[in-house]
Amino acid sequence: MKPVTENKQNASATPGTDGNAGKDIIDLLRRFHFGEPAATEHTAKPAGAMLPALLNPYRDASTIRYQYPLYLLPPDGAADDKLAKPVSEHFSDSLHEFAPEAEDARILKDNVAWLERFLRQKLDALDPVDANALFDDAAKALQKHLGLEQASQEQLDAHLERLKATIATGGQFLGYGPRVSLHLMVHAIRHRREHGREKFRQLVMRHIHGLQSLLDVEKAKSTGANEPGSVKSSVGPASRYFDTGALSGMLEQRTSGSVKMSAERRARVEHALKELQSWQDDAVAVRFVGQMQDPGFSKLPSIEVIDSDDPCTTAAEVFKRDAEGLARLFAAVRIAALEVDDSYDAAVHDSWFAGFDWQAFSNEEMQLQTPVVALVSANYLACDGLAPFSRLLGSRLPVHVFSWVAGFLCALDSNRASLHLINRGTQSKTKERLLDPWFVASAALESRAHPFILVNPDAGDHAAERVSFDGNPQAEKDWPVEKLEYRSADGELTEMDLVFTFADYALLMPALHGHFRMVPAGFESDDLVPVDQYLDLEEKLVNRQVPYIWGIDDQADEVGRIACAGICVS
Amino acid sequence: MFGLKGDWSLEVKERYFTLQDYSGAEPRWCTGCGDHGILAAVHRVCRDSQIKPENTVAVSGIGCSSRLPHYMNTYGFHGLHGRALPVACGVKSRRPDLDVWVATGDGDCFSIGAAHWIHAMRYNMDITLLVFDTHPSGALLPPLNPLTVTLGVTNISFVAQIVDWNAPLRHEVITKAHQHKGTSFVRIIQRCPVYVESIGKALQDEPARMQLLTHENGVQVDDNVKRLFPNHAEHDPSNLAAALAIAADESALPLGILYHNPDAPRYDMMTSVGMEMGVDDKLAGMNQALDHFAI
Ligand SMILES: Cc1ncc(C[n+]2csc(CCOP(=O)(O)OP(=O)(O)O)c2C)c(N)n1
Ligand code: SF4
Repeated sequence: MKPVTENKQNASATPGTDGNAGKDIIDLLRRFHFGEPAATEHTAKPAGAMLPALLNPYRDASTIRYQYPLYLLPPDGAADDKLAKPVSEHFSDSLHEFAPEAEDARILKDNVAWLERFLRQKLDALDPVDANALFDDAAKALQKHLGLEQASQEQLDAHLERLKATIATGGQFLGYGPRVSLHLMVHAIRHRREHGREKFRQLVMRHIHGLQSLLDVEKAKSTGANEPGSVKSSVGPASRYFDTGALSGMLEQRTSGSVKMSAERRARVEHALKELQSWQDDAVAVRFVGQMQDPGFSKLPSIEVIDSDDPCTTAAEVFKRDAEGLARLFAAVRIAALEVDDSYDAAVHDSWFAGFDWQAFSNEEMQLQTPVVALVSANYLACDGLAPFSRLLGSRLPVHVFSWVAGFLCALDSNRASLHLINRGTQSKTKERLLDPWFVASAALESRAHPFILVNPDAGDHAAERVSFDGNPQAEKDWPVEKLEYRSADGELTEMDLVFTFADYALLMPALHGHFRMVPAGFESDDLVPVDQYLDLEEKLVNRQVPYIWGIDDQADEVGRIACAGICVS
Repeated sequence: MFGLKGDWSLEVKERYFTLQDYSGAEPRWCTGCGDHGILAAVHRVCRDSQIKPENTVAVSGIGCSSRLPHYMNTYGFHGLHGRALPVACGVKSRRPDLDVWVATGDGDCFSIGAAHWIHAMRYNMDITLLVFDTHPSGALLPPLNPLTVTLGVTNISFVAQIVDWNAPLRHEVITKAHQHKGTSFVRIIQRCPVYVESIGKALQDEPARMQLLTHENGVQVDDNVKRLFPNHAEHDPSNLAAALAIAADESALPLGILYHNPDAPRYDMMTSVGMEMGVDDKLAGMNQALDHFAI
């Protein structure tokens, strides 16, 4: 990484590192800070390509290995910590495993970055793609790119094949894009579903068999059960080897039970059996409710999109509709268990099953319900949607509300309404992207502009236990502190500690550049203070001092101070 | 920042060279000759650093070892006995952009080419010099200690010694020699099973006769390599006096980096000044220089 230079060029020319001119500059900056229009006019806005100094090394994302693309593991019942992995990490771990020595699979190791870049470029589509198919394309392209002689080509092929073998069938690659959070949510939901579904399928089959056996026994008690025709069908194909009439005659003499199943019980058993037999697994993994701006998303398999102007209300209705169907199914499962066990007590159970609804679902049952996600805009939440959202929260319906948002595993476990707020890394009003969206989104987290806050009412009895900030970088500090390497005016390579605050993040939005003004190069004043120190100032000093951040534009290669308007720090 | 891992640089190779890309003709050295291993190490170092074959030149004098340029798929110059270094210096002075390797034998370098050796060391051009030494005791040819002589030359910048038969050490030292900007002198004790088998054998049978020098700024090898050399010591390669003392001590053959000074001035930096100038500019410059002598 090329170190930047501290901008001191004009230090001697700047009218006033000391004396009256210096006083003029700080006065002007102070007046700008307090929003005086004339001062705003007489000071220079940061150039369009200005970035917070700490982010300068990340301008060209194509040379940086970060968490995307992701390798999404197929939902084959794997544990939750194996949902997804950065592709680069997966490749490097796999190579480490099957080629531990430096010289093993050397050509592949030396070119794994090329593979990663190829995948990243191909994954500019919005949706996950089949990992094995894309890997094949990447492998072919790499061979073509390298143009090796035969022996090396064969070696590389063999190693590419081994690397491919580490990618599970059904695995997917997902690039970073505007739909990433939704895809991750769907992916996590599919994993969760797969866990419980298979178990539940088997349970239903067991109960169908159990109930059928009960009815078969009952049928066996009837006189018609010993008729040659019934005997023939009960014996199966082997019946052609003997005389079923004679067998029927013998059976007539055996006892077949005298107490018949009560009509109510029979009806209950038949009803439960019908309910279980008619159950079909929902092919939809998740239902999204709201105004999907992006029509492509609704075409994806295992997703249903329900259009609605009032997502919170519709989502609640959809959830209840689904829950009603499931309540019948789960009731049938429970009744089947009681009936097979012969422990159904009408006096106790009839009334309980009459009122059985989603609120009585067990955790496992709740996890079997297709999740419903209301897609809302931040505007909707703040205005028209506030009332329906509050009602939804009050209803305790486990509906997810998703407002471009991250970190939902815990919410999927919870049987309550959950709200996800997602930053998609959009940079407003830029013709050309200054930073890759992943870095913008990460800068939002890093700067605490969009901190990670997890409120989980199930996490404990005390408020402190229910709220977690653990997902934030350097969570123990007020602000993350990073080192900036730069060359001082006298050419020395120097390091300084810089905090990264929400004001730095604001500089990423050219639309907010009006709230920043360049401090003349080389100008020094005790009244200029870094934003983090400004925020800690005593009340009486706040009116005197001007907060600043460090910035750098793509041309200058020099770090300079940028004063912040009051609105940025108030 | 951003939770990026240590290997966060996605360095993509637009052109990639395999070992094969550096391999030239089939080597004709005898079976068991130490030169094979040294050639393999040179190929590996070239591959590791991905230097372009078309920007690489291997220069040699005369002798078995001097056949090396034929076995490199790069530019090469198989020169005259003792004259590898003057050719290499000439190449480097006009084409400082090229990566220059020199393969020479003990006779070629320390005997018939001794004068060139001394001066090339002094010039300190950015050249990797590998001396394939089949007579480490100095028994046959020059009665001198090449290490003390080299360390005694003004402006010396990199002096190392290895044996051809220890691959990790060989690779580590040749890598460091190649990375060094200046003349890297690497004396390689080389087995010649045809003429002087006893020399290599004696050292292999009695590893205590060698002393492995390690240091955080010198050679760092793992414990498996250290185990092969029961006799090892820490030596700071920036310490010239200590290097000289080690080199002069004949009780053990030192292996590793004896001396390293990355800041020694390089003659190729001076010879390449004004390379971009046209004829007219050069004439004007010469006139201006000569005018100093005008009376
Ligand atoms: C001017 C000249 N003198 C003598 C020779 C004969 N000659 C050929 S190879 C050689 C010795 C080379 O020995 P060394 O440099 O140690 O290389 P090695 O063969 O051991 O690798 C000599 C003296 C020659 N070729 N040219
Ligand atoms: S004669 Fe000795 S040095 Fe020459 S090739 Fe044969 S073994 Fe190697």
